[in-house]
Amino acid sequence: MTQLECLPTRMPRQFGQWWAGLRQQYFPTRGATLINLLLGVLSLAGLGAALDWGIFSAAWLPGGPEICAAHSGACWAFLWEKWQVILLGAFPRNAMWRPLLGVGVVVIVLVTLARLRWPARTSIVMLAVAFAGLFALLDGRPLGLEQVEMVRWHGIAVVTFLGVFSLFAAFPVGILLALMRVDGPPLLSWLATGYVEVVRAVPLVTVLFFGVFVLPLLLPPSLKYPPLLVTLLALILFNAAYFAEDIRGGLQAVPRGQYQAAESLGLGYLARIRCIILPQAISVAIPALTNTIIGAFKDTSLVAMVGIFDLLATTRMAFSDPVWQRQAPEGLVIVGLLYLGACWAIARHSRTMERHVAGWLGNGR
Amino acid sequence: MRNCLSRLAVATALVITAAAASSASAGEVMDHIRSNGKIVCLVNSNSPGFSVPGSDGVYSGFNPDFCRMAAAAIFGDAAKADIRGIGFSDSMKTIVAGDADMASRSITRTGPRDADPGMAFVVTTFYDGQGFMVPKSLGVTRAGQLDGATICAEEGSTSLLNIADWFTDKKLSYKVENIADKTARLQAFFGGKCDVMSSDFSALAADRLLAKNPADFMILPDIISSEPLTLVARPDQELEETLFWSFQVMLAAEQYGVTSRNINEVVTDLDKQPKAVQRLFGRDSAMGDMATKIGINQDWAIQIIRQVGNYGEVFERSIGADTPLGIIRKDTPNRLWKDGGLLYPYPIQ
Repeated sequence: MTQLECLPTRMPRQFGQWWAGLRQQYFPTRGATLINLLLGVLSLAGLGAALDWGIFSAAWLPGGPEICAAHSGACWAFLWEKWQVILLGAFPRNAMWRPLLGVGVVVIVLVTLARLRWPARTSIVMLAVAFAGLFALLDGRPLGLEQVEMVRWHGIAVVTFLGVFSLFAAFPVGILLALMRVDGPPLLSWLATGYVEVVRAVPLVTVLFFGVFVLPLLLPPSLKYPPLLVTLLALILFNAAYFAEDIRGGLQAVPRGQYQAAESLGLGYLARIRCIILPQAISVAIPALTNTIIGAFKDTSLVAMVGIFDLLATTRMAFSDPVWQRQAPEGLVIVGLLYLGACWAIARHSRTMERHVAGWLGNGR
Repeated sequence: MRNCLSRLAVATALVITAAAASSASAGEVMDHIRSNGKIVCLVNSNSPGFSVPGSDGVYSGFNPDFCRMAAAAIFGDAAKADIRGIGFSDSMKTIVAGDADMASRSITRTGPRDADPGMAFVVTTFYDGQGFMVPKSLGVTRAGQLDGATICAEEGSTSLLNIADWFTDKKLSYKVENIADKTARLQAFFGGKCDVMSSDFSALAADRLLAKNPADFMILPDIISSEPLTLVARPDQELEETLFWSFQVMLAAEQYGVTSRNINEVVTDLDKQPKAVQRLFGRDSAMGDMATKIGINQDWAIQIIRQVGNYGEVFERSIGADTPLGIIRKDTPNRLWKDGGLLYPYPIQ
């Protein structure tokens, strides 16, 4: 790509004097100066109000609801009192260490794998172990502990169980669907296309409703299943369709020459796909995949519609206590920050991965 | 969208169970409860005063107490109620699907709901109804004085229809501010955008607490609709009888002044008690026969009062005048018949 029209026509700006740069960037014309000053003042005022509410005028120490009345800002005493309800809802308190440990293990596994850049075999093994561990800790019976039924898996327990593992289970399915669609024989290709189109066209909530409330009535009573598992299955099937499209985009970005070169090396189909095509396709698809992952993670709160208590629902429980009803903003801000933190970590890691793959994609920056 | 979908799901569920539930049974559900060693009871997950998990994660409030009542009657142990929070429309579907034994979840008993073979409405625990909340500064004490008022109400709910009916019948003029979101509606009301806020009076009691100064607002005594909030059970004669008569025990105990605090003295000194109290808590009487026939705990009446309390205690503990909800019982129909209310204890003898 060295065509003439792509060469820069202007030389980069020199930052000899910092104020010159500042001026050029923020105050180049009178109109821009006005708008930037206005926005600057507004955001400073907003920031000031937020800091005042959240920090300077806030009640920080634990205590009863009466100390909230004495402070004009946020009342973090609410969190001291209700953090267990927000994080775990009605999960039995004598077994509270189980979901906390389970979620902790999952987070550690995710961070470790992210640092290791997702080595395939290690990832599969560790994720499977983490999933089994979380399930065993939450349920209790596999470890010889007292059973906690799935209807009591609330808050971070259910968000981790559904949000994290529906995404990981969906990923290989998505790859398979994408390969079927792009590379498969016509019948498989049509099937994959049909599947993706249908799943994308049906609202997730409808499927959840059908799976949780209608299907059990159609099946014989002996075939009872817990709603949480149907929900997990529905999320996997949905996320797989979206992943498939992301990866299909990646596959199409891999030049035909790569396929031919791999073939001429004498590699078999699986080796070709696994060693040559997929690494490039997935690397190209990282921004799209990140988009899907963040969206799907946030979409787990849709399960509240079928009576599963996600973080938002447990927060509602917390501020429905008659004496803490005024603390809804504090609770919602905290949940917002939890989601923000999780999504920010995903986004940051995706940028790291983009830089990491930039080398072998030959478009390094 | 939620309403459409849930209606669709309920409708589907109803059609299917209507076909399947021809075998209305005597005792099958109760056998299941006994062999499970617990009764699965659905409650609201976030209704202040009525049902909400405390900081310890255990549901408490007015509604869960009737789950505990059932467990105390069946097992002699109120802790054997498996209390689960659930959304409104989901609760009925869960009962119909047979995944829960009963619901104490502020479900209004209506004709069409009662006609569903998958649910049995048993006994009304709270008579709710639509009312009005006004700022005291408005100087209004009866709803009849609300001519020309602007009313905040929930969009698309039956409360709008009730308002229209009531004001038209009284030939009063009014304006409505439709606001679907509860927080926004309350803000509009507290901010002075409307003069009056209308919804079920139990909800108004909770809403009032969210005002900067709740004492500036009052709930008018006029009630313009009937919302009998009723216990729901899986259709089963033994279970329905258990719930109905356990509730009667709680009413009778209040009538005769027996509470969770004095029940032990009453039982030890049973001979000195009035005949009605002897009948209620004596083992050799009709109560024991009933217990044997229905298959519940022999001293069920004693256990209910000891572990849960009488109706008045339950009311005052969770939603009464001394709680944050501050519902003044004598202003509602939820008084005993002898005090001019709708709660009429049936005779057990």
